[in-house]
Amino acid sequence: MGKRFSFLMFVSGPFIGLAFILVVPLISLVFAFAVLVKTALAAETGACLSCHSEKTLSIRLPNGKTQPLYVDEKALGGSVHSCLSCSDCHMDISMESHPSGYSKPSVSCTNCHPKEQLAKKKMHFTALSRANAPPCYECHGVHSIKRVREWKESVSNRDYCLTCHSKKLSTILDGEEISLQVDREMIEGSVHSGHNCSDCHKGFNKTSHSTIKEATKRALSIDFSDACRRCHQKKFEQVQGSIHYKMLKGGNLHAPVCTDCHGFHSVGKKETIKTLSGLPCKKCHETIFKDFRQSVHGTAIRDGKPAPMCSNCHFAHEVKPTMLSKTPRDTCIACHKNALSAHERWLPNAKLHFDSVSCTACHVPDVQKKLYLTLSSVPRAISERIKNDDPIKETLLLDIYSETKEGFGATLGVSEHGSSHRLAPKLKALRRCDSCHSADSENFKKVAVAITGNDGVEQLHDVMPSALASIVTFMPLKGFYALGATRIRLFDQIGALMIIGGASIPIVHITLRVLTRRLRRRRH
Amino acid sequence: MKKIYLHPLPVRLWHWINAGTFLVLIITGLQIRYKDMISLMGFKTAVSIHNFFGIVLALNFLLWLIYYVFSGNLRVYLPALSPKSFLIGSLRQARYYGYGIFFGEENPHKPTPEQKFNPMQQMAYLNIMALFLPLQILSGLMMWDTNAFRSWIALLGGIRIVDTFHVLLFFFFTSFLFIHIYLATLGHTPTAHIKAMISGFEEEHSH
Repeated sequence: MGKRFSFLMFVSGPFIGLAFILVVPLISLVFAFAVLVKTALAAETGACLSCHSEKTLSIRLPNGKTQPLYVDEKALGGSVHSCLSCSDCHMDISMESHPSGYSKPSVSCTNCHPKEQLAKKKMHFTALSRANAPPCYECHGVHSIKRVREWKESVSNRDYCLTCHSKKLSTILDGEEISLQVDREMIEGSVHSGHNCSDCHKGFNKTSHSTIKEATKRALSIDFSDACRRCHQKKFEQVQGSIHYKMLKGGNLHAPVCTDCHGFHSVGKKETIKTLSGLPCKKCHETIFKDFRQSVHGTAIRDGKPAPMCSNCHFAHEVKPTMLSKTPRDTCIACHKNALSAHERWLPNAKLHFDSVSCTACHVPDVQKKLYLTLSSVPRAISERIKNDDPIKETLLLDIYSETKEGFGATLGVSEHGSSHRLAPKLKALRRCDSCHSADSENFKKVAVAITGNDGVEQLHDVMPSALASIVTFMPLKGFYALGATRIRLFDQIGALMIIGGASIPIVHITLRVLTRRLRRRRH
Repeated sequence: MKKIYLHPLPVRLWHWINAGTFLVLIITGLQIRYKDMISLMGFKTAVSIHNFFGIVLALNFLLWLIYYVFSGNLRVYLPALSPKSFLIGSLRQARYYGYGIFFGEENPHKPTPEQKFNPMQQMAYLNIMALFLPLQILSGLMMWDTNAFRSWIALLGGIRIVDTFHVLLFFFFTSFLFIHIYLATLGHTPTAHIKAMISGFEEEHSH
C-alpha cells in the first residue's frame, strides 16, 4: 500500500506542481483585476454617496417643489445597474464637475438601450412615438432598477400594470383623448379589490399587452363590458332580455352597458348605486328623473323614508320597454299589497277598475289620459292596415274584429310616457267618479291602438275618439264600457224614441178622447 | 155597486214596492248614464242608491214569484191556450182601446180574481215578469259585482253587451211606465184602478 502511493506521487507530482504554478497566478490575476475594477467604481460611487446617502439632502426645484437627492445605497447595490458608476447615467456629473445648484438632469437611458432596440417592444414603441409619454424612470424606477425579468416575478399583477397605468397615460381614439390612468385607491376601494387587472382585461398581463382595436371610446366601453359576464353570467342573461340590450344590438351605441351604471374601476356594491344620487338612470333619463323627484316616492326618499327608486319598478338588469297600454298594477301591488282591499272600501267594482284602469290614470292627476286598445295577437296584414290608417277609423276596428273574432282589450292610462312618474300623494289622486264616468270626461278624448312588436316595443296608433260612441265599435269594444262616458250614440237615440213614443201614446189617446167627448154624450 | 177582491195584500205590497223602486232606479239610472246632462246627485251616490234599490227590486221580484207560485194564481198571467181565442180576445181589447172607448163602449174585459188581466195585459205582463224583469235583474246583478259574475259576463260577450241589455230594457220599462200609468186611469173613474191597487177591492161598475 505504502509503496503504491509513493509511486503515484512520484509520477504525478511534477504535473500537479506545474499546474499549481500556472493556475494560481492566473486566478490571483483575475481576482486582482476584479478588486481593482471594484475599487475604481466604488471610488466614484462612494464619493457621491458620501453626500447623497444623507437622507435630508434635497434641492428646491424651479416649480417650488422639493426634490430629495437621497440615494439608498442598499437599493443601488441590489439594482441591475450596481455595476455602473453614477456618472454612467448622470453624464453631466463627475468627480471633477458637480453642479452647484439646480440643473436639469440629463439621464440618458438610450445610451445603453438604443431607441431602435426599445422600439421592438410594442408599448415602448408607442411611448417613444408620443411627445408627452412619461420618461423611462417613471415606470422603471431609478436607483433600485431591477432586471426586468426579475422585477416581473417580484411584483403582483396589479402592481405590474399600475407601474405604468398609475401614470398619466392616455391614448387618442377617433380624435377623443382617452385616459389610461388608473387610480389605485379607486380599485382598492371597489368590490373588485381582490381581483387582478388581467381578470377583466383579458389579453393584458405580464407577458402580453394587446393594443386597442376599437375605433371609438364608446366601442371600447362596450367591448370591455363584455368582461363582466365571465363572472356575472346570470345578470348577463337578465340583461339580454332588456330594452337596453336590444337597443345596443340594434345598433344604438348609446344604450347603456354594465360600466355605464356600475362604473368600472370604482365598481361598488349594488346598494351604493343610489338612484337619487343622480346615477345611473338619470344620465339618460333626466326629464323623467325630475318628475320622479317631485313624485310621492321621490319626496319620501328625500325625507329619508323608504320608497322605491327606478330599479324597484323597472328592475336593474331586465329593464323592459315601458308599455302605456299595460297597467303597472302588479309592480305597484308588489309594495302596496293591500291596494285592492283599500280600494274595495270605497270604489265599486274595484277589481274591474284594477283590470282596465292603470294605477297612474288616477294617481297621476292633472295629466292627459288616453284609452289604449290592445289585441292579444295582431296578424301582419292588420298591423299594416293600422299603420296606414291615420287616425284609425271605427270601420277599421270593426274590420279587425271581423277578421280576428276577438274584441279589443282596453286600458285607461296616462297619455305620455314620462308623466307616469309624477305619482301624487294619495290624497291628491283622482277620486271623483265623474272624472271618467261622464260623456264630457277628458279621459276618453284620446284613444290609441297599441301594438307590441317582436322587439317588445309598443307602437301606438291614434284612433278617432268619436269611434267610441259609434255603433260600429259595439262588438270590437264589447269588453269595455265606462258607465256614462263611452255610451253609444245610436242607443241614446233609440232610447229617446222609445220614451217619446211611450209618453206620446197617452197624450194622443187623451187628445182623441177629448175630441170624441160629444160622440159619447150623444150615445148616452 | 159590487166590490170584488182583486188584489190580495202580497200583490199590493209587491206592486207598490216595485213602483217605488222603479222610480228610484229610473232616476238614479238616468243620473248614472247621463252625468253630463243631469246633476241631481253625485255619480257615486247615484250608483250606491241604484245598487241598493236594485237589490230591493230583485228581492221584491222573489216575493212576487214565491207568492204566485205558491198561491196557484200564476195562471192569471197565462194567456188562453188556444191561439185563436187569445187572438180574438186581444183584437177585441185593441179595438176597444183604439175605437170603442171613444164611443163609450164597455171594456170587453171584466176583471175577476181568476181572470184578472185582459189578453193584452197577459201578453205584456207575462213578457215583463218572465223575461224582461229577470233579464234586467240579472244584467243589473252582473254589473253590481263584475268580479263575482265575471264568467257570466264573459259568456254574454263582455261588459258592454251586458250594459246594453240593461239600458235597452231600461228604455222599454220607462216607456212602458207611461202607458201603464195611463191605462191605470181608464177605470170607471180615473182613480178607480189606483184605489183598487191600494185597498185590494175593485168596484164593479155597471151602467
